[in-house]
Amino acid sequence: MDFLWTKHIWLIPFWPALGALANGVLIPRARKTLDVVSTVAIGSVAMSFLCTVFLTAELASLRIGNPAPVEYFRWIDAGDLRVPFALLFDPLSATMCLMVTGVGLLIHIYSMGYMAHDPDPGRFFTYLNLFMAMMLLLLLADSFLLMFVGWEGVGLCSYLLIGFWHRKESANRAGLKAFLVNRVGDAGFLMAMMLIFVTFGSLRFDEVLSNAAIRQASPTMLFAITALLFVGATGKSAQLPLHVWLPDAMEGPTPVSALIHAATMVTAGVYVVVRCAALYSAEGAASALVAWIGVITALLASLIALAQTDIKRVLAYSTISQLGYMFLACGVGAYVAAILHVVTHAFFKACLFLGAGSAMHGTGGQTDIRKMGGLAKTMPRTTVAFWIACLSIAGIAPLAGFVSKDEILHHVFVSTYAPARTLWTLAIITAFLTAVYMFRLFALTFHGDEQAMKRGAHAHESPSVMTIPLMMLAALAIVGGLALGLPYPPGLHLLNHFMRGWLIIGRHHGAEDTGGLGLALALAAIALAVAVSGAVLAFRFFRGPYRRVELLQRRLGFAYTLLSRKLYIDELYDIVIVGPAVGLSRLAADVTDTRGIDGIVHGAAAIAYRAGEGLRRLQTSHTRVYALAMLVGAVALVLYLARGMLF
Amino acid sequence: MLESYFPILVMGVFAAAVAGGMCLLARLVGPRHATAQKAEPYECGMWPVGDARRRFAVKFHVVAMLFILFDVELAFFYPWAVLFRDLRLFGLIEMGIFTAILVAAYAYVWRAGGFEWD
Amino acid sequence: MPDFGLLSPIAAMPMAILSVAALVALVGGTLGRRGPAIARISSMVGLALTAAGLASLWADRGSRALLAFTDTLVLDNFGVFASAAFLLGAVFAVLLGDAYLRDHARLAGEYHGLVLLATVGMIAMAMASDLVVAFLGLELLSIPLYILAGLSARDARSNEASLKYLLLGAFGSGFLLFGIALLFGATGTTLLSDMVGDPRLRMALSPANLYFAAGAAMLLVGIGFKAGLVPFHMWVPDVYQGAPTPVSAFMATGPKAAAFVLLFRVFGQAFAGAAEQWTGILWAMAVATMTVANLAALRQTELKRLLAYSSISHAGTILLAVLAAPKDRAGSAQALLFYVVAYALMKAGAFGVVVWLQRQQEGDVSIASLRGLASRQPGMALAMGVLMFSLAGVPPMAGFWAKAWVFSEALQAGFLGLTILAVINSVVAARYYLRVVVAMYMEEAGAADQPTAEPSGCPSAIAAIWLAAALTVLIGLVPGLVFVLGGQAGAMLR
Repeated sequence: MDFLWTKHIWLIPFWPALGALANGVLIPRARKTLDVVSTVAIGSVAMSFLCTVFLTAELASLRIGNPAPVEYFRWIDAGDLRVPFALLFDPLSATMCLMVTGVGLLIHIYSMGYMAHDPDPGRFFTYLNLFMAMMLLLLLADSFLLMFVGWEGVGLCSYLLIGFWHRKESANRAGLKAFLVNRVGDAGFLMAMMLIFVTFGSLRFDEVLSNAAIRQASPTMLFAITALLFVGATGKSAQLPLHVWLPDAMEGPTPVSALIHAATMVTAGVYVVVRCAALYSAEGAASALVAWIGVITALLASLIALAQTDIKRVLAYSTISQLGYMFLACGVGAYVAAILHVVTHAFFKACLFLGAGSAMHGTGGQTDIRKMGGLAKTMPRTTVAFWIACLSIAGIAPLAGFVSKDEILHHVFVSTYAPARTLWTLAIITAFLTAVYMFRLFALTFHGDEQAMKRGAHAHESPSVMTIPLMMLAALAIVGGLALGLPYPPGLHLLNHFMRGWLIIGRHHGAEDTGGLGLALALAAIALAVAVSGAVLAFRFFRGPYRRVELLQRRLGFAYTLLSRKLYIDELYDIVIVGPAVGLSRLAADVTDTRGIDGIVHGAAAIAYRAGEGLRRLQTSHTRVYALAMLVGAVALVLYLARGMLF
Repeated sequence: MLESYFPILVMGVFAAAVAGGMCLLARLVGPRHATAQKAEPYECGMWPVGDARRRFAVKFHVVAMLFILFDVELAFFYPWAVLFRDLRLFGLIEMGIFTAILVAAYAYVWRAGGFEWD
Repeated sequence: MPDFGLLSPIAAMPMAILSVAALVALVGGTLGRRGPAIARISSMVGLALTAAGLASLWADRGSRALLAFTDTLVLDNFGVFASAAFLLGAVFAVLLGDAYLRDHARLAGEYHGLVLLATVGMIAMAMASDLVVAFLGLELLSIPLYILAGLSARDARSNEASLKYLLLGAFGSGFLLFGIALLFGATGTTLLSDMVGDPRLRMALSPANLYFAAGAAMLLVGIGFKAGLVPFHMWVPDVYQGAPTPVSAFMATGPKAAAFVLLFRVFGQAFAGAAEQWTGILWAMAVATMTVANLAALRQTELKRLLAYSSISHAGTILLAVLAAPKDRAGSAQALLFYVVAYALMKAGAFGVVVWLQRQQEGDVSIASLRGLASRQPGMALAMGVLMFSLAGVPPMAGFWAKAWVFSEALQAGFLGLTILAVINSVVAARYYLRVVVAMYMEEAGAADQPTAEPSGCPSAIAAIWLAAALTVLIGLVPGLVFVLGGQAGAMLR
């Protein structure tokens, strides 16, 4: 068996990096038309996708559960710390990379249409490609340090892309907010890395995540490490309490929201937890923390989503909520289920975002769902795709969302963790709410009352370059779940089979016995019933006259205001954290820096300057003076060197 | 070790003392009557014409320099002449290289016009 | 008849090749219209052949140094590496000289011949194992430089530079020779190799020996003059400013390096046993050199003078490597050699930019002439920026590594205070380097600073500048290449 591809993992992040370099630096300004830059960008992602496919095929055919990382060159070799530049292509990273490159490719194609009228497509596609390269680096790294490079890189690209329309003040602020909140998470990640190095003596995955190493570590250390890693994950994946940046991040172009803030970057946190499954399953308390934060975030986010009126913000909170599901799954040891949900979520969420973008495009940039509506007739393809994705995310069988969400719920229910049933209940409630707010969104945006219908008559369908990726994602949202995670018979669950290594690790918290077919069917039925009822309820209600909606809002009163104002979390942070920080920095800048430090620096410079002036005068141009100086120096030298004898 | 140089030091001091002492004595005891004629520069009995600040043609300097250079070259030939038989082939080659370098220098000076008087 | 064997001609081979090339250039330059071309070709061929010759002298790892010419020449990688660095300086001198010789074609033979002869002298200094040979090399280096400094016969500044250099240089050489005589009196030999090896002579190198002390002091005066150390530095600004710019470039690169190589061999190698005696004074000289040069440079506006003070300041920094030599000979030799190479590149490039600027305007090239260069000539501004940053010691340029390794050697040898002072001096120096960069990138060219003439092409100068800048960055990014070679050189020192 010749390992044709195994050595060439580097090709996967290489193509987007090359694309970014070409679009950013190499192509001269005059040639940076939309066609050129989008071709370069799409081409590079396509190449990356192809390489991923080949590598995955080879990996699958080789049936190696845990392949060895491929070292490329010596990167850091400082004392005890040895971190080579090495990439790892195992089933987990293979799955994630396939998803990232595949969905990324579709979104890149979509962007070609969406950014058609933007004055600066070159910058956009450069950042987008750079993001892809960094994300793939994150996924393929075989050490925490290299992963952190990708981690920071995607954070940077997120910042750049959120603030892409940098003339808009709100976009700049949103980008800054995203970066700063992420920084808090990054601090946790860094501390975790330091603790990992102290405990395990290495930062490489194969050395840290081995069972032997973990058994020797102290429980306190393990908890600290896993908790801090989770802090980092919270920042990147927008969980409570670091979720505040994601809704604001919707200021960026919609393809950015679809790619980065739905399918890829935000799943990096989940990836970290799943990658460190060995650590988490050895530490009960941390797993519990993950599960609880996950489910609470999911619940609260879905509540907030009910009251949002901006189409992208609803989807943003929906993303936060679904990410909560993924962390819930990790918390109970169902790592493969979490990854399955990551993949299916990528399908339907990207489809939702691209559909929203298409709707915004068709209504001339409108984002307020109260002012949209009636698009079903004029934008049929978008409507159908969006509808399919809504069905999927709500959890209607047999679509992808149903399959993955149900698997998570099943694992939660049968988990050996004590409050598992409570978690399950909260998750079911969230599922209900998910169906409700999604179909509220669908109804208000695409249907609505007669007034809405009249508004929608002016809309026009988006061009094929945008609708075709949309339809493809919708198709994936239909079959993706069953294709990858067929629940029964057990042998045909592709993802389980591919990632069996993680199944074994997950058994520590998950139940040995998954309860049999009967229980599975029962739970599935409950979930389905919940989802269908929520969907139908919401659709009927919000399709009717809008007065009814307003009436309900007034009846709910303060509760509604609380939800629509996002539980006032942003305001709370402003008072408690941002205010004092800004005040302190102003103090440092105006007083300490301007008066104190600048004073010292300028004073020192002034002294040096005057001394220089004095010395300059010494340099008369008389040769005699020079010779005299030499003589004096010579005498001084002789006296010094002969000092032993003379004194 | 230094003791053997002591006489030299004595002689040096003595010489300096005598010479310096004569100058000092002349300064202290000697008469001082300055006249215009005494202050004139000596020109072998002739009346001095003009001032002494005149530009010298550099050709004198060039000739002197060339003379010194080739004269020193000559000086290096003398030891060779004395030890000719002992040094044999090695000496021939060594002095050959030496001479060749100086012939090159000679050629240079010739072509660069160093031998032109005017 | 003395039996030299085969070793001596081999050791003398680089010098012989270069000397022949020099003479051919000198005489060939007088041959009418073809003269300049002959001079140029012979100098380039000579340099290439000498480089090849030096490469063939490079010994493998683990070899021992060999002595030739009745122990007066030493064949070790240290000398070969240093000689290669001098050749590098000569190459730049030839490249930059083209711009000057375009207007003074008759002087081509003299220029090339003298540059090559000076380089022969430098190689002799690097390979010297005997003080008299070292002195010979020094004189062979200096006298062509005296002539080269005054090559622009019509320029009063050039004449001034030449005369000052001659007078003060003769003064310094006098000290040097007197010092050699005293050392001979103290040890009974002029052979450095004997001073290092012979245990009886160790006693002679003791603080109790007045002859040794005085001799070493005089030696320091003579070499310190050439290296431009305080208080023997005062000729440097005037001579660098007055000499034709390609000559200044040559003077800034090779001769300074040669002086330090000699200083290292004498004090770092031969007198290492008596280190406690001379460390103090060298410490003081290093600090004084760096400080005086940096402070004086702050107020300079004329570029050549600024670069001259910069050279003096760098000389002070290189001295740290000599100070560290008694504790770690191989390591400090490595640091010294790396610094020499990096420094040669930076200075040659910087002076190259001055050459290029001089073709555009009359009169002095001051910092004001650089104003707004980034918008007029972005490529040249970038090259100059790179060189300035390298001189200031900013990564990832070669200058950073050079300073870093010298400082690290000094720290390992225990000179904490000195290193701190050196770092502070680097910071102060950054001011005037960055002033150049600021002028190029952030200031607008005033009406008075406009170029008075069209920049006539001087392709070799531009090539030299870009070569220097590119190598600076390359060595900065991959210092290992030069460093490893330097290490092999240092390891061979006895």
